[in-house]
Amino acid sequence: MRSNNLLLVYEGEFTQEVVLNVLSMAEGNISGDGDTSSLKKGVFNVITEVLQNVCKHADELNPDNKVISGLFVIGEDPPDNYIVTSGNLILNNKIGPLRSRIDEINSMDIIGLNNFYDIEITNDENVSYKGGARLGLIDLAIKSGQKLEYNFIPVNKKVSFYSLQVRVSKK
Amino acid sequence: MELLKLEATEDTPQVILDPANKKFQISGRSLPEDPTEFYDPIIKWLDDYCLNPNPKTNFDFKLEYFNTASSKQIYKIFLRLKNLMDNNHELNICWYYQDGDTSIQQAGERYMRVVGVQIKLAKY
Repeated sequence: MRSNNLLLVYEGEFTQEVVLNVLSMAEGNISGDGDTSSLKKGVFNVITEVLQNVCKHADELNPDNKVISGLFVIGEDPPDNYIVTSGNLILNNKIGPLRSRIDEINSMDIIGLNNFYDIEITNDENVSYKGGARLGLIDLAIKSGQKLEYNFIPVNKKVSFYSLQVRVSKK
Repeated sequence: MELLKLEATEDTPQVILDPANKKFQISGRSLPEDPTEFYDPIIKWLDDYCLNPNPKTNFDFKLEYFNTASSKQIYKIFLRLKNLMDNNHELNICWYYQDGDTSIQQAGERYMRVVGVQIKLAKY
């Protein structure tokens, strides 16, 4: 796996327990020589946010199926970047708003993103269990410092496969 | 007011709200699956505390990591602390961050900015 620049690959169920186990594994794997503790923290933050986004927001083929499945990969694009990727199913009617949200975030510079974060954190609307989707993506964009990359692959009339890729610069 | 004490877990912080011993602290990691469920009792406790607080409250945050959902809950905690300040009680908030941890440092600066309270940022 190392020769393919893959540090960790997980495919399966996404629960809080799985999130904590994957984090624990990631903490072990992401320790290249010369990585500062600030970088490790940044990557760790991105990993946590990406994993929990799948838990909270992914959908399933069968809506009665309460078990969320997905895909998670930590890779390297040496020498400069770690790449954190997630993949999960998503209802087709969520694609439009999600695409708009990511495009909006990608259009902002760091000052704009921090202002947006300030507005979102004080916003009372999304304080439910599933709330804060926007804040999570803004946070990822800030920590990444690069554009969030995404893709939607149609699966059937109801769902598509959504992948999100977050780059974290090692510099 | 009764003591509220929660031990740290893999995904929730240690919480000490102890007016009798004048100790108020939240420390560790915060990434619970349902942050509202975890933080609601804490926020309710603070609402009650604000009705009859100690003359002086020293509140320490020493968080290694918190997810964005937790950050919203922490914002709600800061709003309660601001109530204390607004009512002429002495409030000292200390936000600790590990040397080199710009993420936690910047989070402290953000809360100071958006809440409008004085926060001492302390490196350890």
